[in-house]
Amino acid sequence: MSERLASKVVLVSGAGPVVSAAVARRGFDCGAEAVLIAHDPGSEATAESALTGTGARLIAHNRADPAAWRELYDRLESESLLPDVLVNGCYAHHAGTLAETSLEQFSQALQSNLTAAFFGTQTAVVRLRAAGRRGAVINMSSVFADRALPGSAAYAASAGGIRSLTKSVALACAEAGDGIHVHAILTGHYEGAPALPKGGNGLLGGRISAGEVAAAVVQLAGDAATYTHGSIVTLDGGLWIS
Amino acid sequence: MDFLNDTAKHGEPGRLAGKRVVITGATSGIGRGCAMHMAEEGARLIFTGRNEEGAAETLRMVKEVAPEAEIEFIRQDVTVEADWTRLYGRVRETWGAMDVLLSNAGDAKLGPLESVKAEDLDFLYKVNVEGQFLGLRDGLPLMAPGGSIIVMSSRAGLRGFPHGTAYTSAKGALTALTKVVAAEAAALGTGIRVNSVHPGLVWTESVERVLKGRAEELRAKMEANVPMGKIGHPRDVGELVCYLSSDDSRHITGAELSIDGGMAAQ
Repeated sequence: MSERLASKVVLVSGAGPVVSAAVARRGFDCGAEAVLIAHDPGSEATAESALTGTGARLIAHNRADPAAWRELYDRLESESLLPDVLVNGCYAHHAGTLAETSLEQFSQALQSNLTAAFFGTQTAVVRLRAAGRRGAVINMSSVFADRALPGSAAYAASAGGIRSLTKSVALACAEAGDGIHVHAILTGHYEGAPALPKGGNGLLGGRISAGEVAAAVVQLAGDAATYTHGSIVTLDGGLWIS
Repeated sequence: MDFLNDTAKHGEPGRLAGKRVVITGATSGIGRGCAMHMAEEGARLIFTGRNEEGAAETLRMVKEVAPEAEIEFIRQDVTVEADWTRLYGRVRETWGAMDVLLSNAGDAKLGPLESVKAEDLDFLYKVNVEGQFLGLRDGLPLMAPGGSIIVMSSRAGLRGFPHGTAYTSAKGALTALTKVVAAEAAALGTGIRVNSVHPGLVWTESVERVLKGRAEELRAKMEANVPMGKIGHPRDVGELVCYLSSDDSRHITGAELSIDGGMAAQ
C-alpha cells in the first residue's frame, strides 16, 4: 500500500459506521498517524462494533452545531491532532414526498448533511490556515445531487448543496493559495449506505464497496493528487448515465 | 522547469501490477507522463504514436523511472484503420486481451471562429474524434473483464473558451461518446468501465507548439486563469489515470474526471 497519507491525521464525521471503518483501515494502510471518527450518538447508527479493530478513535460529536466543531478542533489541537484531512459524510437520509415533508423533517435533512458539512468545512479551513498547514476536505455527497430521486427531495437538496458548497470553497481556497484541497464524491448505492426508496445500482451492477469509497477518499486526500482541486468525482456504478 | 515543482512525482508501486495497458499518443506530453506513471505502478505497456524520435525519448524516460518495465512501441496513426488492426493484432498476439486502454492521441489548433477553415475542422475531428472512436469500437471486444477504458478529453470538452471552436467541439464529442460506450460496455456484464479525463492547462510540447514559441512569455497569463495559479504537469494526469486504471475505481463509469487546478469548480 502507498504512503499517500503518511503522518496525517484524518477526521471522519457523519459518514456512517461502515464507510468510517473502511476509511480508517485504508487510512492506516496508507500511513495515517491517526484516524478519528466523530459521530453523533443521537442520530447515527452506533459505530462501535463496525470500528472494532480498526485502530480508529471514536469521539461523540454533534456535527450540525458550529460550536461543537470549534470545541472538537480545540480538543484535537490541544492533543496535537489537528486534522490534515476532514471527511464529511452525507449519511442522513429522509424519505418523504413533497407534500408530506414537514419543516422539521426538511430542516433535519439539511442540518445533518449540509449544515454539518458547511461548518465542518469552515472549521477545517480556518484552523488549517491558522496553523499554516495544507490539507484536504472531502465532502461526501450523492449522485442524487445531479440525478432525480423522486420522494427524497430534502435529501437530494442537501446533496446538491454539498456539491455547490464544495466548489465554492475550493475556489476560495485556491484563490487564497492556502494549499487546502476541497473535493466532493457523489456516490451511488454503497455498502453501509442508508436505504433509498428508489435508485439503487448503476449500469455496472453490484454494490459499491465501502473500501472503494475509502479508496476514492484517500486518492483525493493524499499528497499525490497535487493538481486535482475542487473535483467532483461520481462513484455510482454508472447510475447517472443510465 | 522550476515552476513544475510540486507535481505528482512518483507512482504507487504495485497498484497496476501486471495490468496490460495500451496508450495511444504517448510519444510526448500527457501520454508520455501517463506511460511513466503507469510503468512505475507496475503496468505492462504498449504505446503508440507517429513520432519515432519521441517514442525513443518515451522509452528512455520510462526506463529511467521503471528499469524493469515491459514496454513496446508500435507506430500508429490513429486516423488509419489499418494501423488499429495492426495494433490490436499485436495486442491479441502478445497478451490475448488488455486491461486498460488509454485513448489519448489527439491534436489541437486554435483560432477565432472566422479564421477556422473547414479542413481544419475536418482534421481535428478526424484525429480527436474519429481516431478515438475507432480505438474504442475495435478495442472494446479486446478488453478483459473489469477492464478500464480512459478517454482523454479536456476541460475544453466541458466548457467553451475563445478560439477553441474546432478543438472544443471535438473534445465535447468525446465527452458524450464516453457515456454511450460506458453504457454499452456495462451491458456486457463483465465490469468494463469507460470514463473521460479532463485536463486543464498542462505543460506539454503541443501547448508550446500551439502557442508558437511564445509559451514562456504567456505563462503568467495562463497561470492567472487557473484558480491554483499554476500549470499542471503530465505526471499529475498520470496519477489520476492510474487511479482510473486500478481496481480501486471499479464502480466508476461514465464519469467525467477533471484535473485542472480548480478550473472545473469555477
